[in-house]
Parts: sequence; C-alpha cells; structure tokens
Amino acid sequence: MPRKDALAKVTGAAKYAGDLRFPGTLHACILRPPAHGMTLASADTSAAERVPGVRIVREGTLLAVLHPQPDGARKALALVKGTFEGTELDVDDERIYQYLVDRAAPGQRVVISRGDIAAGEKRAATVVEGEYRNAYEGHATLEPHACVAKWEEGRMTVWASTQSPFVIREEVAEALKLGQDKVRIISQFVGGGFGGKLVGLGAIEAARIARQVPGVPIQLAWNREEDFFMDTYRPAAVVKIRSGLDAGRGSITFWDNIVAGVSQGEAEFPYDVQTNRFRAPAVTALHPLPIGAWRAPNAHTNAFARESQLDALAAKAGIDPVTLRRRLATDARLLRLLDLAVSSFGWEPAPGPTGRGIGVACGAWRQAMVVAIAQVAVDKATGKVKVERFLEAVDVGLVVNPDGARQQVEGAITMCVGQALSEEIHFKGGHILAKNFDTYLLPRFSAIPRIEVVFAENSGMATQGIGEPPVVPVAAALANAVFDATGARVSHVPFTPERVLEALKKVAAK
Amino acid sequence: MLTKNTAGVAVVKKIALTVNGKAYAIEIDIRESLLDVLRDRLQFTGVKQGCSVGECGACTVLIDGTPVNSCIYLASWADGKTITTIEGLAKDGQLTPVQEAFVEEGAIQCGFCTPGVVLSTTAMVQSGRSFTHAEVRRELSGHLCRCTGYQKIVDAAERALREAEAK
Repeated sequence: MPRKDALAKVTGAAKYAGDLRFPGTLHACILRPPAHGMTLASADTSAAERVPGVRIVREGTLLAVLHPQPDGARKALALVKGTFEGTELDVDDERIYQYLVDRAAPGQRVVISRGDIAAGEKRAATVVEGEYRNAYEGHATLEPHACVAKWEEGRMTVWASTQSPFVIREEVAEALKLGQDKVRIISQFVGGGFGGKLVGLGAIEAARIARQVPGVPIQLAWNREEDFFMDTYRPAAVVKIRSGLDAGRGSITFWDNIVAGVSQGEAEFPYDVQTNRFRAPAVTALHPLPIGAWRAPNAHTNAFARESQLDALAAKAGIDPVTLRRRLATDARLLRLLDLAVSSFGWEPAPGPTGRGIGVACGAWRQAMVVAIAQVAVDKATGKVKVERFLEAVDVGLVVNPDGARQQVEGAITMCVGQALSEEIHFKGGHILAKNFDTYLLPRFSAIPRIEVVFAENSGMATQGIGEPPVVPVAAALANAVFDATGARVSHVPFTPERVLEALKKVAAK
Repeated sequence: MLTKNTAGVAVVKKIALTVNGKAYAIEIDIRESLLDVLRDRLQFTGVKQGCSVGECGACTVLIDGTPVNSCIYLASWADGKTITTIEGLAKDGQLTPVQEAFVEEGAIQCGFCTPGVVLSTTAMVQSGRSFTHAEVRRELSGHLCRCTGYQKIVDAAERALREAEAK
C-alpha cells in the first residue's frame, strides 16, 4: 500500500519547516560556543550591524543574527566576534568509558537479583568475562532541525520539524514562562527523527528570538555542524558481564551484569537465567554531553552485551550459538522466531568460529521480538567488515501494512549497520569533532546487501510498533558474525577497521 | 544584497538560466551556491539542504541533464545552463515513470532525500544506457538516505530503468 504522502514528497510539493516562506520572514543564525560547557560572555556585533538588513537579538547567552536572506544571516554571523566562558570538560572519546564507570559506581542499584552469584560461579564449567562498549552516536537525520516561530498578540506559534508537538509545546511554554494555552505548535513534514526530534531545542531558541521581534516570523534552520553539535546523542555506555555455563547441556549457572551509561532497558529477556544480578546506574545524568532517546533507547546497548556474551560462552563451551539460545529460550514465541530465522536463512549448526562469518542475535523491545542473522566478510589486512547478507525474523503481532513494516525493518537494519561499523561522535573536551558526513560516516548504498525480512504469523497479538524493535539485535549479530569469520571478538561499537584490527591482533597473540 | 565584499571588490553578477523550462535573468552574488539561489531566491524548495558540503546528495539537480550537488556548485557557473529540479518533472499533475516507480515501490519514507535520488535516477533513465544491479547502487551512492535502507530505492530505480528499456 503506497504512502498517502508519497505524491507530495516525490514532486517536491511537501513543505518541511525549512521550506516555509512566510512574507516578512527573518532568517536566524545563532552564535554557537566552540564547545559544550562554554557559554557566551560578550560579543562584538559592530561589523555585523553595519550589514544592511541585519538585526541582532541578544537574550541572555543567546545571540542571533537576523536577515531577510539565509545567506545574509550566515555571512553577517561570521562578522560577530564572541568570547565564551566556562570550564572545558576534562574528558574525550577515549576516556569516556572509565569516566562513566567511575561516575556510575556510587549510585549503582540492583535491578534484578535472583539466586546466589558466588554459588553459581562455583558450579560453572565455562566462565567468560566481557566488557562491551558503545560510543556516542548521532541521529543524523537527513533534514537538520528547522522551525519558524512567530510571537503575536501574546501568543507563540512554532511551525516545527518535530516528532512530538505536545512535548515541544511544554518546553517552549516553560522556557518563555507562558501558559501552554499561549503556545501553538504546528507540525510539518519531518525529514527523519529517530528520537532526535522528540525535544525542541531549536524550537525554544526560535521562540526566544521571536519574542524579541513581535510579529516577525523567525526561521531557524540549523546547519549540519549545528545539528551534530546540538544533538541529543545515543548515550555512550559500558556493560561488564561475568557469566558461566555448566558442564552439561549448557545451562547458565550465573549471570552478573553491570551497566554504566544507560539504564536497564531490556534487562529481562526470556532466557532461563536462574542466578542473575543486573546492576544499573540510579540516574543516567552521568554524561558530559547531551543525551537523549535513540530508536529503542538502552535496549540495543544491553542486547549487544548480552548477545555478544552468550556467543562467547557458546564458542568457549563448543556449542552452536543457535542451539544454546534454543536451550535457554523460555518463551514459545522466541523459539518459533528462532526457527523461522534459522530456516529462512539456512543456518547449519556448528560451534564457532567456523570461518563462515555468520552470526545470530536476539532482541526484544516491549512486546516485540526479533532474531537477526548476519553474514560478513572481514578483510584481515584492513579490518574492514563487509556485510554480505542480513536477515531478520520479526514478531510484532498482527502486521497491518506488510510493505510499510518491511520498509521500517530494512531502514532500521541499515541504520544499525552504521551504528555497528562506522558511526561515532568523536569529541575532545566539549568540542564535537563530528561536523558533517565526511567525519561522521553513514552507510551508503554500496555498504548494504539485499536485506531479507520475514514476519512471524502472530495475528493473535495486538500490533506492536515496528520502528524500534528491528534495531535491537543488529550490532550483536554483526559482531558475532565477525567472531565467526575470524575468531576475534569485537566488543566496542562501532567496530571500525581500527578496532577490528586490534581485536584480530589479540587473537594472533594467543 | 551586498554588491561589494569587504575588500571593496564587486561581487554581483547577472546570469541567465532556465529552470524547469522557464527562463530567468537574475543578479546573484558570485559567492552564492546554486542551491541558495534555487531555494531562497527562486523558491524551488524541493531542492533540499542536507549538508552543504556535497556529501549527502539531497540538493541534487540536473544541470544540462547531469546530476550535480547544487550546494557545491556556484550559481555563477549556471549562467546559460538548463536546470531541472524535482518541481520540474511532473507535467500537468502527471508523474514521470521514475516518480511513479518510487511511489509504487515504497521507496519514500521521510522524503527528504527523495528529490535528489529521483533526479539521479531520472538522469540514468535519460542516458538510455543499461545498468547492472551493482552499477545502479554505485550511480546512486552519492545519496544518503537514513530511513529506507536503500533497498526500495534500488528496486524503484531498477523498475524505472526496466520500463524505459521495454519501451
């Protein structure tokens, strides 16, 4: 069934917030600090003010240059000299993991506690200790944040690129100390969100500016560099797991899991784990950079750790990774989904690493379940991972529009190929080094193989959202495929060629 | 518009170009990109601004039939050229076969990359050449898409190419 809005989008008629052209609009460019943690102290705007048509708005630490043409505002902004104050953050993209562990430690709370961990460890024949990390990741929607705000007769109207107009209405009302009945948000076509357009930092900025110039529509369209700088990233995280299998069929005798950086999202999964301890930070306010929701928040971090760890246990115990999961699965839906994935893919059981480069991982998001099977080729000289095949079996209950659902799954897998292999917000202090798509690498057409999607027949269960679940097991399936290809365990997302080479070196040294 | 830069050098130039079949004679700043002129001066907002550095392909237009990132193409270079934007494809409400293929194959999600990919596909179809699957992916690899996973876009492009060849 084709999308209702396809016609508007394929002809260029669809208007996104940055495309609105209200008469009398002034385009705003904001003077940004060079780094997070810094704010505007003072500014020399004299040169910019000499440019015909320019207006300067200053409200607290917010300084914007306004001009009837976007290009005029950009050029005039370049003439503003600002000085900034604040303390440079003493952390970077390498030290962030220890930083998070240290800051999370005092407030760790036990989310799950079953059985006696020490006794379970005594019974274990195979023990694996793993540390799994993921970097900050951006939303990198193709459309940067954009909006138009207008202040008129005591009311603020914002035409915004937003996933959540009601959340933004609250935020704008609070920022401007207005009643919510005085704020109206009008949603436009949204050029991608993924959680990045749940909050309205741009809408607040535009509204603060518009309040200073009554009756004038203020258009604020962040450029790509601002969009990366102002993003609310997927949180960086560290998950440490120590767990063991018995000598028999492969029962888990203990599972000790501690998380820093994210919450306990998806801590419970339908595997038979009688002795289980799961510790997560009491607060997620540990981060030096702004964080936010990123398509199935927390779940992909925890699933990556759990499914990688399970794979490592299976390999060490000499058990086929699907067989181990089948033995552990306590839910008939999960078992059926594993069968569906395995038969659709043509999985042949064998303990890893087999050299075939095939990996499996399971994931859940709320009531939905997903099994992913990936096949990769690893260039051992360069560390480059090429995805050769990717299949997902998905159970989201009754599938209403199979075409639409399939598109969501294909898109989610592609997004997470980027998550797994290349996407990282590099930073030093509060300086965001990811500035554009040349320093922040999204997967391109050539990086993605044909994706196979199979849906479980489960019309008895209410339809679940499809946007988020297929994200959850992707990175783990790819990491397990890398292990199967090479015997090297990649445990740091994204596993860039450099990190794959590092992991390969560890295998060679053994 | 400023007519001189800070060093006092004249920066304004008059250019003539055809956009979607209509002739325009306009004064531009020689530092302006074609993207800015199309979006902000001539109001062709179907030309999307995604990165401004030639990485994402959202601003692709056809210049004398060739797909070009208009964000890194100076407007002054467009003097005498014929430009097609996404707004110039459908005639009297009738979609082109490429546009129809994108709708039918479900190659559109958020739609922000769509104008650029449709135009690059249009150029492939107009070339009259045939393309292998790998060549289609390579031809389109200058476009970033964050939503679709690319597969449906490739399906749409191959469908449009197939249909054009069958004619």
